[in-house]
Amino acid sequence: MDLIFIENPSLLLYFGGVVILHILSFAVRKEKAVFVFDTANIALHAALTTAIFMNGGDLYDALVTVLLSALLALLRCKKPSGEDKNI
Amino acid sequence: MNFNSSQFLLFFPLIAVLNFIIPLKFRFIPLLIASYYFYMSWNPELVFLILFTTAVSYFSGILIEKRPSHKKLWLVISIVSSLSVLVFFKYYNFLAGGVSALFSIFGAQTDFAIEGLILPVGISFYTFQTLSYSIDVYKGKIPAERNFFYYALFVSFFPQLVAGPIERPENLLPQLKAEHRFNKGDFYIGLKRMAAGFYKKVVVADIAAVYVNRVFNDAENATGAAVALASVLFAIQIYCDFSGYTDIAIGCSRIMGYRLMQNFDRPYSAENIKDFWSRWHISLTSWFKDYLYIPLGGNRKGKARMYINLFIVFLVSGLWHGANLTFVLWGVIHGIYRVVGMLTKKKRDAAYEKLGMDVNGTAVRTFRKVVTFILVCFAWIFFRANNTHDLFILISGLFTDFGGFSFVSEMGLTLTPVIILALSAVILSMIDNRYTYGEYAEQNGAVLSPFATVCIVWAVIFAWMILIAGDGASAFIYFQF
Repeated sequence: MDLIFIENPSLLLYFGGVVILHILSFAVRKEKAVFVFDTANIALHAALTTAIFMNGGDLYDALVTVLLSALLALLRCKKPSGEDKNI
Repeated sequence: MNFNSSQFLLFFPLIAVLNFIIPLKFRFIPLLIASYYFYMSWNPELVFLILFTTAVSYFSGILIEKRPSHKKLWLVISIVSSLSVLVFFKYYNFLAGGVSALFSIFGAQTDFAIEGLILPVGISFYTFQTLSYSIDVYKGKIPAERNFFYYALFVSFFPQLVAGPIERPENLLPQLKAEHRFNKGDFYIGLKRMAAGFYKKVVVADIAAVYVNRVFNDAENATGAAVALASVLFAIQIYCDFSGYTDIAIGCSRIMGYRLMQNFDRPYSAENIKDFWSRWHISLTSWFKDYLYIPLGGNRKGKARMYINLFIVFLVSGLWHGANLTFVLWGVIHGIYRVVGMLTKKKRDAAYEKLGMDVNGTAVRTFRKVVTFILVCFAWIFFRANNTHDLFILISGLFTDFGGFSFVSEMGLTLTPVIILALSAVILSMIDNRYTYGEYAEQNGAVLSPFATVCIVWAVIFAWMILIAGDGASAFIYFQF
């Protein structure tokens, strides 16, 4: 079982798009813009997952992409301020 | 019904809604019914055991308070009856096996074991909870609970019933009687804590378990390198399995407005074994400290006695985990770590100073963390081994047949699972450090960004589908204790 990205490197283009959207979300400060980029990112993820399955990938490949994205999203999170706006 | 089962996805929202809409006066009714239903979903017949333990400790508590002249007698009755149930169901066959082995030395072939004796789920957890209640009432730390139904709910509160945290009566009982209105903050924090728990269990623990089982279930053919890697993976698996359960328990209680105690605090960043035990299964460690170590004399009766007391605590802790010699040895090895650690502390510090290193500097602290992690992983081999025969093969393989890189094919490791496990471990440490534990734990639960939450939920769904396509979702390890 090898990564689908190795067998089919063209799928990396989709993931490149995911990374760019993460960078854009991190760079912009306005909440509305972040929301737009994140929504686009989720749509791109859905497209990427579909492309993975259509190119012979499996759930493990889909899991790798979503974990990579989770890592980028966590790196993007601001350090805790000690204040909680939701409470 | 497991937390990671589809029934729980229907069960929990229903109970959470009932918890908020039913008036305070009657709220214990749906919670108590739900808790007993949750427990009976494993084995309905065993409900009588929890009822018996609950009733005995409840009436003992009242009698301890009402008849102060006989309070010691009622305490003894409560402790003996609760422990009798635990010992019979958990240790009878283990003890019977020992007695049979003793008889066989003298040539007598006997078999005292009872076939089909079921180990009731969570028996060690609720028994310890009732014991702490009886002892606290005896010591006058808390008043006896007069309402049987509230007390029964304290013993059986479903989020923490089968695998803890082992709650103290002074923390949980008042909360069960207090008003809890829906709170948006609690809801978000609880939901994200649950997501973190599911992530730990489904994405990390269950996937690591596949590779761990390949080594530990085939001890005869395992090379030393495979055992070493499997012990590290098992360290991650058991932490994610158990702390994942605790996160889900804490999260769903929080959604309903109840706050359970923390049970973990990044145990693998401990600098020594004492530190590890202050971060691992905190509710059990503090239970043993308060109800065993201190009554034994703690550190008040000289150094030799203190070492003996520590050793007893770890021995009992090993036995608490299961009726198997491997658990006892695991407790013993941690006892040895603790005692040797205390005996050599001054010499080790002197050695660091001789080398010109700051005892509290980053280098020494990192070195300590690495050594502690290696010691803990070595002890996990004792814990995970299927039996003592396998244990000796695994340990001897570790020192005699290391086997190089053959572990890759032995464990069936390919690039994809290696990437998944590595990424999972990094994400896990980020979630734990930034959102679950530490000084910002309360606030951080709500700071986790929506996108990160979506990715984590997505990862849980994918991993769940992988597991269902394979062997199916597995039960939590600590349910067996």
